Amino acid sequence: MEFPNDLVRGSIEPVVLKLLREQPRYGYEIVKLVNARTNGVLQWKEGTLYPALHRMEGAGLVKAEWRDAPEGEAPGRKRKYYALTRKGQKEFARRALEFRDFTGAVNILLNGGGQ
Amino acid sequence: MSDAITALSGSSHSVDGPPPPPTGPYDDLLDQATHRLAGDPELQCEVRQELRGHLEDAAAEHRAAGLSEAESRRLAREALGDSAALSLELFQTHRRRLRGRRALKWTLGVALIPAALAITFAVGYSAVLSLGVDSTLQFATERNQDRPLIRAIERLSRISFDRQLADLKPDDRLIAEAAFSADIYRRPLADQAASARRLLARWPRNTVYYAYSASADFRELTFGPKEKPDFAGARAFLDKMDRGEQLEPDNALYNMLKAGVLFQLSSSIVDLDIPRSALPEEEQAAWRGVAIHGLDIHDQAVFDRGLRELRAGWDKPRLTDHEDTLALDFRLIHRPDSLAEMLRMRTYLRSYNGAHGGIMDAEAYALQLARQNPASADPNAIVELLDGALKIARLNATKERPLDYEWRSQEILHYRIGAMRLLGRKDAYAAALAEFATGERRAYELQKTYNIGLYPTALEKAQMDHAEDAVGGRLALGLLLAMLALMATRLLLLALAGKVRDLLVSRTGEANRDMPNPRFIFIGWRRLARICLFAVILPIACHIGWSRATLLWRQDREIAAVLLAVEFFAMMVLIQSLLWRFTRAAVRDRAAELGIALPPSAPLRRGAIRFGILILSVCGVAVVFWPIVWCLNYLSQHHAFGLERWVWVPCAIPLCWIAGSLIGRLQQGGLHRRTGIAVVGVVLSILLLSWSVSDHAISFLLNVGVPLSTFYLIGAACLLTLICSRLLKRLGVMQPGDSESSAGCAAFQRLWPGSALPGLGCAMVLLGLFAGYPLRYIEASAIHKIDAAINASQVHGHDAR
Repeated sequence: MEFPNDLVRGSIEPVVLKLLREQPRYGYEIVKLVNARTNGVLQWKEGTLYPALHRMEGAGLVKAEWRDAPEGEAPGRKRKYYALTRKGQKEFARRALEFRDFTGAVNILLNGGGQ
Repeated sequence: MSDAITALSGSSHSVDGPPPPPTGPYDDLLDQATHRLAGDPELQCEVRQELRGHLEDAAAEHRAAGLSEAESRRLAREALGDSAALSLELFQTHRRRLRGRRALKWTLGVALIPAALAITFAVGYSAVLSLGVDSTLQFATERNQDRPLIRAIERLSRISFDRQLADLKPDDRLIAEAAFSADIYRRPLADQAASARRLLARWPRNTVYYAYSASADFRELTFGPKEKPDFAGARAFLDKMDRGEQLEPDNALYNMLKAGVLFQLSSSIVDLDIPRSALPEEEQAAWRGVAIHGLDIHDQAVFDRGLRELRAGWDKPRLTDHEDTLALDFRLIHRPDSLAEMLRMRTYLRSYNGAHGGIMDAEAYALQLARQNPASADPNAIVELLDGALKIARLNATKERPLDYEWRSQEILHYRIGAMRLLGRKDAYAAALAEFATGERRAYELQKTYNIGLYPTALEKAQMDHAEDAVGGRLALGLLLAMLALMATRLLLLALAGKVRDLLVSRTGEANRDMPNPRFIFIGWRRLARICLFAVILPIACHIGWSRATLLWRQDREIAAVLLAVEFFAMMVLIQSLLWRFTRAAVRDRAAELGIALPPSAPLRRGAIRFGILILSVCGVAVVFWPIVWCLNYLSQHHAFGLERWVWVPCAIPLCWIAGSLIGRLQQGGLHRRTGIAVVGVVLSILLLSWSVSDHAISFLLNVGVPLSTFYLIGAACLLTLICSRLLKRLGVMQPGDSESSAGCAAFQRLWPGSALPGLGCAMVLLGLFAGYPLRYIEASAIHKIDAAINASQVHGHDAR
């Protein structure tokens, strides 16, 4: 299922922050996890992830570190791992609350509530 | 720190060959996605590497699911999305950084290099003044004042001092111009006497200024052996001395100056030319290196009048020309702003005041009386003269450092020994010989203390210790400056080599591969902090701890300057090597992250062992080399084998050759002619430069600065060898085991292409920041320490006005 670009773009950052809150991850791992956890419903164009990650890095929400890939997976390859900063944790808490309130309000409207 | 700069300006290509052309399966896609980031090649590299990793991971998963290689790649590319949209989004994300980088480039190109050059000039000029290079040159070129180079350096040195004088109030300026201690640039004697007279004219009844002016007049009036006596000038001078005696009756200065002039008018001192072998054996040692003087008296009446003045003088309670009081006045007006100036001011306080002439005449006359007719000579008169000379020396002792007083006493003892022998007074003769031996030991001990410093100052031992600390600090700072300057030079050479290589490559049409080629690699703040901590801060902290601890043990600081020099040099080598190794490792790590070709690994194989050997060898060479130069110094001083001293100077060259070759062997695993040639070249250049500046510079190098010049030579040799060998290796001109013939133009093709010019600019700015501020801080702290010590122990002065 393909969602409109605006909708996808608005959800990327909270989702990435949520996944990075669990542990440091690299880009492809994040994409795979999103696909897996949403049963393929939320399928991003993978390229859109990286500008978002770089933006969050620039804003100090995440920090990046190059590490060697595990020997069993991709020997000799370097991967850029992203981890949540303290600022990122606070931002995630704020965004999660904001997103919940927003989707709740939209749901109320869409389901005919409030009348 | 400048190796961190090397890291910043590090290049992307290995010396093992040019970077491989991009033949990866995703390069076209990556080019499209990142071409808007070309303004920041490092960012472009990093993004490419990240995206490439993503594509390879995705393709690998498809392959694992059973798809073909081509299909896997196709699906991976599709999943990444539209490359044009990605490119735009990446550009928008990094727009601010790209703009910043463009501005930085502009700054580096337009503003930084001129700023760096200005800072370098300022630091260099300040270092020349602060490290006393100008005074060293003056000291080494005392008889070469007319040479244009010396004049130019003098003019440069006194610009700021003259400006300070110009800012003073008129009365203060009179004092500053007259004070001999302020005259750190040694004006002609006539100028000094004139300024002293101007000062006296302003305050004619001031005893301090009167005595000072009298002393300055005496210096101007002193006749050389072949000069025609100025009788009119002498008469006016004697009148002035009479008035001075009335003004300050308890000061022996005026009697001494009168005696000095009367002796010079009526007699001349002659060398009796008595060979030492003609003296009794037990006496020969006492006359070592001393000429036996006699007197040629041509006006006995005037000479006797001089003797009367002498006798009147030695019974007075004090002998002073008040120069120290005037110096205190001057110090109230002007605080020295460099250690060199401070020490020079102290040094010049110990100046000639006319008493020595009287002593010399008295002792020569005593011996002459004994020689002329020993049987009828009045022993009491002779003893009285010699005792009187000793009294004058004692009165004058406050003017001198203890060592000078000891030498003066020894000189008088020479004559006492000779006179007692001639008079046949065996007991007095034996007593004088014994006293001489005791005094000689005392002088030897004092000499050891005073010879350790750069400056023959008039300070006491405790103050000398402070000065030694300061000198050690200056030495370390000089080394730091030299090291940074050498590194900056190395960067410049690399930049030039890189430019040449770029030119060659562009002419042969090999350039323009689409592989990004960042000329700056930022290794990251964390790595930078780690390097600073382990390569700079920890070694310095350890050395501070070590130096504080050893200061407590080192009560007898006989060779403190040499030890300090070796310590600091070892520290510099350590810091340099650690910086080198850590930054290279950091650059390699960063290059691996960016997916660009790795720079070569550190050339020192089995690093820790070789590094330890290097440090030990540097210290070992210093320990071995110093006595050798000391021997050369001894030979040169004593005209050994009838040869002039300059004959021995070239002997140092083979030694430098051996030292350089040994270091070259350590560095490159073979005895390299190139290294030896480089080291000998440096030494020869120093000698030739010294020779061109002054005939005396070489004797200065060999005499005053024996430990330091040794150290400098070894230090220069080691640093040069390190730099040359590493530079040659890095440039690919020389590999371990290479013969000279294999190094040729082909090596240019393997040069690193990185332009180090921005790096050079950064290095220069950092040079200013890192060397300029500590320079001022260390100097200020040293001046404060010495000043406090002097004030605590010596100054009880007052404002003479």
